[in-house]
Amino acid sequence: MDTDDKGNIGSLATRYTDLRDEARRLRDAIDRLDSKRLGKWHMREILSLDGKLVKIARSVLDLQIETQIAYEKRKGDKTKNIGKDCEVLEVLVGNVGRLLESLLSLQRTNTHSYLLFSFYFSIAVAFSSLLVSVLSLSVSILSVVVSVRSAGAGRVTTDLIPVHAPGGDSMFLQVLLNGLVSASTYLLIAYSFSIIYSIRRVFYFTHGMILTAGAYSVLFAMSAFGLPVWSAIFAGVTAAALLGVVTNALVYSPLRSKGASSAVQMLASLGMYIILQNCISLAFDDYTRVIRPSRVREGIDIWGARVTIIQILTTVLGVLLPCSCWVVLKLTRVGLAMRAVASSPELSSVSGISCERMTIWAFFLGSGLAGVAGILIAWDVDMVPTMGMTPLLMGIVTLIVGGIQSLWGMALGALILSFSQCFGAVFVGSQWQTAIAFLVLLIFLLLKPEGILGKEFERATG
Amino acid sequence: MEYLLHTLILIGIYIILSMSLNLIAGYTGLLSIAHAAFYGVGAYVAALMALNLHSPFLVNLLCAIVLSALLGALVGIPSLRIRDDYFVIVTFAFQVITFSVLSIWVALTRGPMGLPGIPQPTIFGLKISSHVGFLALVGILCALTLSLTQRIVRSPFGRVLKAIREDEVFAQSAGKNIAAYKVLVFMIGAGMAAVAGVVYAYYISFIDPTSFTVMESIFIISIVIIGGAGSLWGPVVGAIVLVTLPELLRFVGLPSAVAANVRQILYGGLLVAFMMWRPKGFLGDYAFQREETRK
Repeated sequence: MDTDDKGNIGSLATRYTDLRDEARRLRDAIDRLDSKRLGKWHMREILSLDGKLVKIARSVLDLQIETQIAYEKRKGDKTKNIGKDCEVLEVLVGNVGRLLESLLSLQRTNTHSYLLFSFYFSIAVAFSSLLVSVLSLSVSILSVVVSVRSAGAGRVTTDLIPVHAPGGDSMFLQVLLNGLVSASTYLLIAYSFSIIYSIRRVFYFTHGMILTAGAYSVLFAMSAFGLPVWSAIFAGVTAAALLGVVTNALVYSPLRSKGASSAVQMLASLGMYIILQNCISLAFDDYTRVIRPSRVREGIDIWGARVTIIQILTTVLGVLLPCSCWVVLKLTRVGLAMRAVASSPELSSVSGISCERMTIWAFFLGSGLAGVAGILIAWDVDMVPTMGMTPLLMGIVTLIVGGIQSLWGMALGALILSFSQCFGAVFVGSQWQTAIAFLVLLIFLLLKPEGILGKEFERATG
Repeated sequence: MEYLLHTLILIGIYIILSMSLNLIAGYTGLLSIAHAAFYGVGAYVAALMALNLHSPFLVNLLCAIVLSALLGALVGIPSLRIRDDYFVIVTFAFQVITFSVLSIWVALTRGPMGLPGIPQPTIFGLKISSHVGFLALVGILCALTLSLTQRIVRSPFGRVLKAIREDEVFAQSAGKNIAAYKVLVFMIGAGMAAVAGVVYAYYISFIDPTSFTVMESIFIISIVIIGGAGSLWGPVVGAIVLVTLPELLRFVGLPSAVAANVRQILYGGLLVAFMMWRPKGFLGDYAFQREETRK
């Protein structure tokens, strides 16, 4: 009995020293990490360190309980000579407790560096998108200045609208700019669609109508209530987000609770698409409506190519909104929960995340972004009740080409799609843009179904 | 009277269309929204041949069937690699591309201007010019389609199609060449849809791309689903319901501008309602979910 206990104490002590050494190694690793500048490749290291920390903390916790039990047993045992063993154990309990505390503080530093990293990263993303927008704005202002100056220097002209003949270099530049503008629109739509798609894995076609509804809500808010433009836009985005949530609550959520397959949900969404589209055309008629407050202005001249203010705004928002949403979802608890549901609905509902609630969040966010996209499109090229279909399809194509999981893949997909369309328009004719988009889709689905940067792909092919 | 006959002819055309789609979607489980494309290709081939070559009706019919079936094979081939929802997107893509070709290739199809003046058909010296004549033609073709579908469905070929629908891997492990079956069923379905297109072109005597849009495809798949996918008489019921129900709206006295939208809302609502409460439709035995996804 006595020897057994002695052995027990000995093993507890050796386990303590082992754990202490490991903790020291971890602390050194974390210190080294802190002293380096944090880069993207450290992410994985931080995460693995975090995992190790958790593991060692757990075994220390076990050790603490065991030593405590052994200590109590010793103390309670009046019959034996307790002096030395008890002392050893007392020291051990104290040591283990301190080890645990230091581990916890280590974990705090590690989490801190993780947060720091995320913070830096989001700032970098925001800064770079800001840089892009400032750059494009300054280029446009510069070119306006240059063109005004050259016009003033040459002669006093009476024609206020300069005649420009597309061709040569400016034509190429124009195609490039148009490509960028439409790429950012596609990115915005694809990202808004992917928020919902990644959670539910269903192509909800109503997304196209939500986009349209956003644009028409702005029109409605301006014409019926006489709201100023900015509050009307806010109302439009809110209306789109709420419409998304409502369609989910009325149709998709009951369908899912009946265990409907994705095909059934998709068919129901086609039905909803038809209903919504016809409701809008009943309410607003089929002819083209305009929400632009002022007359059409001639675009800004950039070395012979023309871009309108709204196109620049579209480009900026099309890049900025998905990036900032991505960062926000990366940092917040809701974003984490949404990603958890996206990667495994069963496991996340086991760990207490409500899939339905996350779906509502996804519909809210995705539909709001779709509303923004719809308003931007309507502002640029006006609107009819059927305007939603083509952007929706382009968004889906972008999503499939780029890969569902990755924002960068989507951005790349949007660029590929819009440039193949724009250059296709130059070589074969602009009417063929939709056909070109679907050719791109077919090529990608057959050759690289998981998308350019997609990681997993379990459903499309078998 | 003429109005009644017109409605009956339309019902007949949609019966042929939905029955052919039922083979693809209902029996084989390949959800497709490209059917208006086959329908349109059939109509355009027959119309172009009748207008430019003055060839007889039956020759045009045959050519339309063959060409449409070839296109069907083209759509069927991706179904070998791409499945479920992604395949729906592919058929969607095919539908949109076909519509673009019909409306953009002005040199051949005259684009949005359409093809007017398609002559009345003559079959074995019999000139069909009245509504009654067309109704008889549609009726005969409907009966032919129905009996052909029945034969296909009850044959071993049809049983393999159902096996592919229920469990593709199992069908494959039983030694069936799934690829061939899928492509073949698409060819048959597309060929049948072309028949409907040819009849439509001759009957209306004017076609333009707007008759063959995505919305038309969704309408046809709605007929199949509401009637009952995977059942022989389901599409017949579906076509009767979905074509006559909106016609009843005419008697309510809605202005025509509103009526078109209300009709669409009605069938969109029907589609949603059926998906909610009766995904198998009136007569169907397939609800677009495989065993493993059911709970």
